[in-house]
Amino acid sequence: MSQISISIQEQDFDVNKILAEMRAVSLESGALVNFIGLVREDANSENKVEALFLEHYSGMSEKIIRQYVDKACSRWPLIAVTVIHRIGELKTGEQIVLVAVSSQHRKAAFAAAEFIMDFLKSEAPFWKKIISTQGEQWLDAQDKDQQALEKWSERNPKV
Amino acid sequence: MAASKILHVKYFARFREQLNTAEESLQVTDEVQQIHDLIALLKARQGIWEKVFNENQKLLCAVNQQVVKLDHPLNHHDEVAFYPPVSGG
Repeated sequence: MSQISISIQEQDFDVNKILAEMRAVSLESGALVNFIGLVREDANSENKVEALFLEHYSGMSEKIIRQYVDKACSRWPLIAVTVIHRIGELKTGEQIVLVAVSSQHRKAAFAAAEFIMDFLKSEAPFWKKIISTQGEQWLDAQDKDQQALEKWSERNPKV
Repeated sequence: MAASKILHVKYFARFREQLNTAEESLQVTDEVQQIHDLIALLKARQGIWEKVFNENQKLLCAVNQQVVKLDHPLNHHDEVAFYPPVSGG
């Protein structure tokens, strides 16, 4: 059984503390991969991004993330998985999301972290509103996020 | 008198702001059997309601927190959510 922790929260998170806790789960962990999503300035936009406002569907977002974490655990031999997604207003440079995965070996940990992140982005009910110098605008879903899922198709023998 | 059911309807993100409504409980007749019957009922409010449900080809719907298609049946006390494509992470 993998140790799973999922949290949707307004407050920031301390990555070093979380990774230390995950290392302590089992001495069999040989690989610990983490991805952190950040609020970035959009270099291609004329409008300077000052912050993002993150909204979610409370109850459903936790459930959807759990479904994909469970799928990852049945697909790869994982020791611990932590997913944190922040909501509310987040300024540029702040942390939005953490996906951290430990396993005996790196390939499983890398693949599972990417798998969870790809499905979180395209399936979990979160929405971003950009707060810029020009005002506020809801961000549209991106086709590339849907396309990323094709990689994880059961028919794709490469992963 | 026709039988009726209560539906708990939620709206998110762009839709929540446009409709100025986060959630509402609706008492509907049993003629409202599927999601698209509920959409027809909401569009009949006209104004912004008609506009939001007509203009959004990419409207997504969940019933009891599971994504469903528009022919999904509706039951008493179902939680129904309407929202735009997701953009988290």
